[in-house]
Amino acid sequence: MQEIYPQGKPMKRFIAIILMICLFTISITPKAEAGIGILIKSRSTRVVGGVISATSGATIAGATVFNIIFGNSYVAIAFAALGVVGVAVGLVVLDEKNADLKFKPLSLEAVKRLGIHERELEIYNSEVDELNVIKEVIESQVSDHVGQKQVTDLWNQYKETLSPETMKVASNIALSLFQSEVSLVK
Amino acid sequence: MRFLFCILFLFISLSVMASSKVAVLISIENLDHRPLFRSKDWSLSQDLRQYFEKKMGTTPFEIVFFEKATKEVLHRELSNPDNIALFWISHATSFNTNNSGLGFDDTIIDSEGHNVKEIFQLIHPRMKYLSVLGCKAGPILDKIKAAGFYKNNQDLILYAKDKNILAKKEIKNSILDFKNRFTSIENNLPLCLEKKGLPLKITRTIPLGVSVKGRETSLKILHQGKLLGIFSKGKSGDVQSITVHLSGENISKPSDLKIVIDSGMVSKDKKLLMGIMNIQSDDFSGIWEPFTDSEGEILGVTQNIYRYRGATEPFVTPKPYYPFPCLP
Repeated sequence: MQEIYPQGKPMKRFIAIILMICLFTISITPKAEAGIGILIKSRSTRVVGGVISATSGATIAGATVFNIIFGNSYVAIAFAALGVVGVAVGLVVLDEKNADLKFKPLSLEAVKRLGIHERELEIYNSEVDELNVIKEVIESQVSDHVGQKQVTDLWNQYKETLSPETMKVASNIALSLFQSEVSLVK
Repeated sequence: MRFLFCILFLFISLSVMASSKVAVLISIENLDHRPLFRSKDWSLSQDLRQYFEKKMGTTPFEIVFFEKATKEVLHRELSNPDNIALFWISHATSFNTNNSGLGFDDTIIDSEGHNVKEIFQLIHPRMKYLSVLGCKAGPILDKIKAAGFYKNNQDLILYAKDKNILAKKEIKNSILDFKNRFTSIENNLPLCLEKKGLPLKITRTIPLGVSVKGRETSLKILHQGKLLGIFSKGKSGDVQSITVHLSGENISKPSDLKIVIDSGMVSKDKKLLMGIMNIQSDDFSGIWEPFTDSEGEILGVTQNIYRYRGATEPFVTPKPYYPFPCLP
């Protein structure tokens, strides 16, 4: 059964779609820190329910109910657009449409993939909680209509509270995701 | 003599009967769930409660309901030695882990919008059945179990699914599963659990005169992702104190003693009334300082971090303590 919510490859497609929307409104720079800015602009708590169903929890519920009953997520999405199933008949799906997108600790395997040193990975792992606190502070200060430059400026403002190693690893993570999403979109 | 024997028998019987409650915690917002043609007074919680009662039917257990349950209620009932089973009904979702450095958080969300997944780490050893009815909650409990949190809950049976679920369908299935397994109110599991740890006294002070509307919150106290305790919802002017315990393991550098104070709130739309923490330990010589910006303002909207500065070698070895209430 195909997942409606971001998970593994479907998650990347999801974020790719969000990033593509961003491409029409902002200018993309190749700098690694811009990658973090774009990531924040995608408003992590909206990503899960963002594209498949525009705003309504009811349509997500409808889609998921249909998916459970008939096991066909594409038909489910069609019904979601009509919003006819699920809530109308009182079926309650216990899914959670909002989930927090966070920076996560890395294992040693990531050293080569991200082009970093082991020591940098160690420092990043020890500061990943602080990194997520900074991320949520920035999230709370940006709206959906803010430019990518403003987001990047906020990161520059707060990055002094973190080790340069942590910022380097975080930048490489965001850039790695951005590059993979751009290649998917192409 | 006969009279004393009767009193003793009655006491033992009461102890057994007291440990036969089933707690049902319903934690779903009413928004978006009101079916068509239902009145505005219709309550999803009450609807699910009535359905639960109907499906449970006659039972030797005392069923206790909590509607709009919060993380404080969940923590209290998971720690309650009188509860033989607990059903939690809420929205949830989980994600596969990867090594990309980014990921969505597994989420079990209460009616106030808080992620309560860590609360399920601490369960009284007398609990025999835990049912978490939320979409894809199964992998969340599997991860908690794999991390070793249930090593003192050898008899605990978990019921949770790894897919999206319909509320009433799974309530029915879970009740059927529970009733098939448990027909007797007897609970012979240990009355008490003793552990060893390094105590930390944490005092939360919420400044007076701060505008608080909609910003009051309870807080999880976390160390390396492990739940140590809960602060209840606090208002302006409150001073709260709690003693929690570190295990003493995996502490070799100052960053290993970092304490995260987390509301669990998923939405970042408003800065919550966290308060200021003072963390003290007789076993570590250093101090804990909040994570601040360059101007000294504590950073964080829904969580704060307190970082340790000082030596990491504890003065004494871990001391015995009781993480849960004990039955007599």
